[in-house]
Amino acid sequence: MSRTFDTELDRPVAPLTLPATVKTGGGAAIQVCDGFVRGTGIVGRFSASPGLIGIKVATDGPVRVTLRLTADRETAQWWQHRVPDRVTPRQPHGARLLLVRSQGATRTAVLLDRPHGSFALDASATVRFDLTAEEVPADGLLILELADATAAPDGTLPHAAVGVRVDAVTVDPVPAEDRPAGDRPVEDLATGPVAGGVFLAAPAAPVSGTFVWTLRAGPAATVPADRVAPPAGPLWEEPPTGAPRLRYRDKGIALARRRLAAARFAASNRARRGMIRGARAVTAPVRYGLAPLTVRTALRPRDVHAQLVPLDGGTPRACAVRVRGNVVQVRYTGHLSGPAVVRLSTYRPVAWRMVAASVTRPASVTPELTDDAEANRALVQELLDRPDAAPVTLPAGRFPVGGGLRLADGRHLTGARDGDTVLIQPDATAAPLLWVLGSGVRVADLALELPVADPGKHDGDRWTAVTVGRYFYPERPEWATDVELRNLTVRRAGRCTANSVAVLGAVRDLTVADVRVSGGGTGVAVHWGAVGTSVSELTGPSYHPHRLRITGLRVTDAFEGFYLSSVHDVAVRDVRCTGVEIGFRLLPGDNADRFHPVSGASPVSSAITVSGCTVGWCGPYAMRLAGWGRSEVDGRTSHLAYRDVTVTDCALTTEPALPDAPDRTRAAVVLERADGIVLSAVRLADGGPEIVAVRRDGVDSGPDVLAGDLHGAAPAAAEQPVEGEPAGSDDGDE
Amino acid sequence: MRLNADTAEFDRFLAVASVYWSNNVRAAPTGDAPGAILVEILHQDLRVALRNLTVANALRRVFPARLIVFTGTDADWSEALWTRFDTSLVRKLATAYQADDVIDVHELVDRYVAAGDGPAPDATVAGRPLPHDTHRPPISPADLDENVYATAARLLRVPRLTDAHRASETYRRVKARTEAFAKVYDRLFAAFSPDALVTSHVDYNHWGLAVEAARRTGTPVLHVQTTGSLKSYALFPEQAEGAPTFRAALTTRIGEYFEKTIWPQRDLIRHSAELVSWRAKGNLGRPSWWRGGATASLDIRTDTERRQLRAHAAHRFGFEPGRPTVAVFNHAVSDALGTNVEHFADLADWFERTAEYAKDRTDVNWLFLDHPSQGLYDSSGHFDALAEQYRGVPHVGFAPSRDLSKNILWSLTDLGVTVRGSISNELPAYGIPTVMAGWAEWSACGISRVATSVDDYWSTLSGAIGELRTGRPLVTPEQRERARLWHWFYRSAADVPTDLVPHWEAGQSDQLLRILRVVMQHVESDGDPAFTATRRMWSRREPFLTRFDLSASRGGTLGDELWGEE
Repeated sequence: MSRTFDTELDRPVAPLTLPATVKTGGGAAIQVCDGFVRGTGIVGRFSASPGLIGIKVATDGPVRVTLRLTADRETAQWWQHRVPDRVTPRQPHGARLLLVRSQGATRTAVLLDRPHGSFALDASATVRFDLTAEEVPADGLLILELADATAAPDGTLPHAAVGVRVDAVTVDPVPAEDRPAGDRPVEDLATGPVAGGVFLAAPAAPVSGTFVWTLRAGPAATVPADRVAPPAGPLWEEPPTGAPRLRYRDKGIALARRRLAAARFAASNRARRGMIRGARAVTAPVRYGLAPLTVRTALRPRDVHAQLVPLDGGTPRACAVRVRGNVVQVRYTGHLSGPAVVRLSTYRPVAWRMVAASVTRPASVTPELTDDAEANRALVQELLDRPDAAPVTLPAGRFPVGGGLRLADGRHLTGARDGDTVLIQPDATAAPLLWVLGSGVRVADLALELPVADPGKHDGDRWTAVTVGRYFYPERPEWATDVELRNLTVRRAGRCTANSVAVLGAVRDLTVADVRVSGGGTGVAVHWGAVGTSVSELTGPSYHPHRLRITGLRVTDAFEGFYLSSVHDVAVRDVRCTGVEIGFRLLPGDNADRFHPVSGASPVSSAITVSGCTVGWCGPYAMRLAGWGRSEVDGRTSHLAYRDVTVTDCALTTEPALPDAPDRTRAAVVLERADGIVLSAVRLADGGPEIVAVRRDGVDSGPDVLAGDLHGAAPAAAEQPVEGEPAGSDDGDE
Repeated sequence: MRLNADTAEFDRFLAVASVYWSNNVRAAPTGDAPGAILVEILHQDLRVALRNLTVANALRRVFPARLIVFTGTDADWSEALWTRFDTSLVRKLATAYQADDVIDVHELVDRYVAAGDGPAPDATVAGRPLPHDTHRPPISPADLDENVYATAARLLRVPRLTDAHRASETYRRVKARTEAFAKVYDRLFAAFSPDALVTSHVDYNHWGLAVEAARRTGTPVLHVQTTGSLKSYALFPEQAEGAPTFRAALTTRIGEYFEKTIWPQRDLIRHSAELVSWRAKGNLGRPSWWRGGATASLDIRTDTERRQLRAHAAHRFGFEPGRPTVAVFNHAVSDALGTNVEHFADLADWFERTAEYAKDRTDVNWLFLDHPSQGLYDSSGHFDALAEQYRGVPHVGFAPSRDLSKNILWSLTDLGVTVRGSISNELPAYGIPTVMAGWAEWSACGISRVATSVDDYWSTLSGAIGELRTGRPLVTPEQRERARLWHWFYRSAADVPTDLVPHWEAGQSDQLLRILRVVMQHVESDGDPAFTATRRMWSRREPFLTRFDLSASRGGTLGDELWGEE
């Protein structure tokens, strides 16, 4: 039997080969439409909001998508006629603030507004964003969706996509020489329209720095828009039965009446325009004469405020405002992980024009480090706390540094480009050596050497080399987003229970790439966090790391390679572990979901992929996949099924047990109520007769059980407890 | 009936049809000789009338019979459904199709109602007076009450009747007329002992009570379908015994036929079933009442495409895409209440209680979808009120189904829930399971999970959700194949292409009449599929018209008629 939607008659759709530009809606490559009407000469128009198209594209590398959007007279007409009457006020010519979403995520935003002084909609915008090759799989689609920005300020048009025209979609390979915008010291941003004091801040990629927008104010003189033609009904009504039938003459008269009505409507709009223009011409001297006073009054400094509103629903942030005459400069320093709008409020309405926009990343600073660990810590922390968020580049060499360096929003801490930078923590501290507590943080090109440490059971976020987020938050936190840990080496003096890299709580969009760990507890530990002071005194919701990408992880002679506890949307690829007691674990952690704002509504344990792992293991098991957990609050055991979770392409090699290891049966793969996990291409090297290949819900079996997809637990032993829980490790069961 | 065509063209068609049918049916019996077929033309659409009359005349090639047409309308039906209903057009059409008499059954009911408690009015049909004493027991009060309830709910366009509705003038009028319809039909059936009743609908007072009278008098009922080319179900008296309703009996009969005739020939049919299922993805060959347009095609091909669209669809409702989504498809809430086996008090009760269940069932997303034509069936705002009640419940969403394209809807739906909706045969054909809280024509064909009671509904629903969460596929390959076979059977095998009934999509304009005129003038009648299929169904007492001789094809002829040997 074929796949779900396939029939024998389905034929493959020929994908677009790059570079490609779609300029009409008729091609087969536009495979899927939703709320979108295909056009000829244009790609089409959105008839609903949100609406989307799905295009078949073939690529083996990253792509750059360029979308040309237009709002025109027809756009207003479509909006007026297609948006339900219950949507008020009826403003078909209003500004359209739209999210541009692709492959399940918001990529950018666009603001289309009627030009100053224009009677009709006539606005175009080009948006551009990049996608990785993985995001455009061969058997998938390139999806382009326009959606209302629900977090938008009041006054923007609802159902904003309705009528918006797609002129062209271009898909190009991303040029190899392109670098992310954030790497450039100063980047000019596009200057777009300002609609009612609202303008868009949508960098091409997540970026930290100082954003400066310069705007010029003029007297508010809104030109009333043209009226929208009423919908045209049928040309004529069929006469009732028995009444004389329509003659050709009657039909001709009906047609003539229709055309006359249309001509009258157009003429009345023209006449209306003429009158408005005339009135404006007559009053122009007065308006121009009063303009300075009008603007000065409107821009009374104490009443000019600006607020940056992230369109992903994040907390609005205040911006600094400087008023000079009729020029206003809005400044925001921080991190922008996605599109946002800036809302300018004034004493009285004014007309705005964007003059310039830029983002500035200050030049990086390099401290002169000494042999004094505490002095080094203080100096680096001082640089990291600079208001301009200048990147801190450490010099090459080996330097002692005290633990507890905190990295807030937009901070970058990197090693030298021309040599190795090694930070040595002389004494173990509970505070992480590097503690990431904000968004847009980058830590790269560093080696970190730490002593062994022996944290308590719930100290998973302490005593680490790097921690992102927290286990216990004093109050509801902002999410830490767009964090990158790249090219890091963590060396512990020996095996211990302290984690090397910990990711906890309110963390999303995190990249961990090319991290090498030797010694210590778990190489990369990922775990939920919550508001409260301890496990038994949680007062707020729980937070679950998600949208994580972990690649190129190397762990040697440590307790464990990595674990994922109570997370979702995670991809782990290319991991090599040797001399580890445990390769990796998947755990539901907060499986009772009791701390989530809405019980049962969390996506925990879904959309997880682990692939390409090589594990040389010397402890109780190479991998443990468990769907159950025991709460440490009340001891209750509960179960959470996995959804859309795959473990694939893993090679598990048995190594001799450690000399002081407890005498117990070792099992390569331990499955405990691991419902919903698809296991494929998991290869077990023959470890000898004393090694159990698979222990599934307490029942030992050979490797054959891994031959097919594994769904669900063996019913006979579904409630089996777990043996051999590693002491001192934060296993995330509570 | 209304005419959406030129009256001159209609007159030309009538002249040709009159000659054609006068030569293509057996001579009607005369005097006291038996033989009569009752044909309903109570629907305003010309295409419906053509179908009923054509099937009736095809029967008249099998045996001689009078053709008695009953028609008419009243103020309530005209307000609720019809735009223009003209009984004089019915008379003209029926006369051209060689009807022996046309009675305005609504006018007769008017006379009954006017007579009040006085003696029943006299009436003569086809030269025969309707007897005052039928010598048969009347319809049971319970069945009559159910019919009154369903008719009043439909005409008032409400999901259920309240005390206020029952106290209304409309309700009193519907009740009085329904009681009169029962008496009129009893007298009509007593006068003629008809050989068959041909009807396009089987519900409400003016259709349903005729079917009820037929069942009590042992008259075969041919239920002609308002879609496709020529489709008709048939229920013979011996097949209806013990069934609570006409539709329930038909469901059982169809299930038996499917199991006995279609399923064993699946290997022969498979490629054709794949073709029909492929066409169905593009909304080709859809039933007439399905929505059309660009939003109705299914363009997804792979699981990856579905997963990608699903992420966008879930985002719109604030759902977590990795968690299963249960889509509950609302019905037109006042449509034909209680005419098949349904476990809940009414359709609204099922929908409300399922929403209540969903509120506490937080381990899946719930999407409640309103029927695309609800505006024609509900004036009470039932769906909107329910949506308002659950506003803010994060795992429960409400939306009019027409706001979602099929691509979006199907990418999101992991389990469909309905009482009797056609999604319960459509979704499984593409691997999506469904749970039914009642019976439909196909519900005995092994396609979906059909609950046997309210308790079983909750248990079935809970079990299906549990399986969803484990990631197990709920639709077996056999169920998917059965669903695709049903697609083939419903849209191909049980749809008879005949020149005498142009396809539904040919419309009801001048064009339709011209096509018919050409056919009747230029195509010889012998062997027309309408005649052969009707004869086959009648003589074998099969539950539907078929374009193939399916029961004789087990020796292999069906394969030749489909794709032949490889």
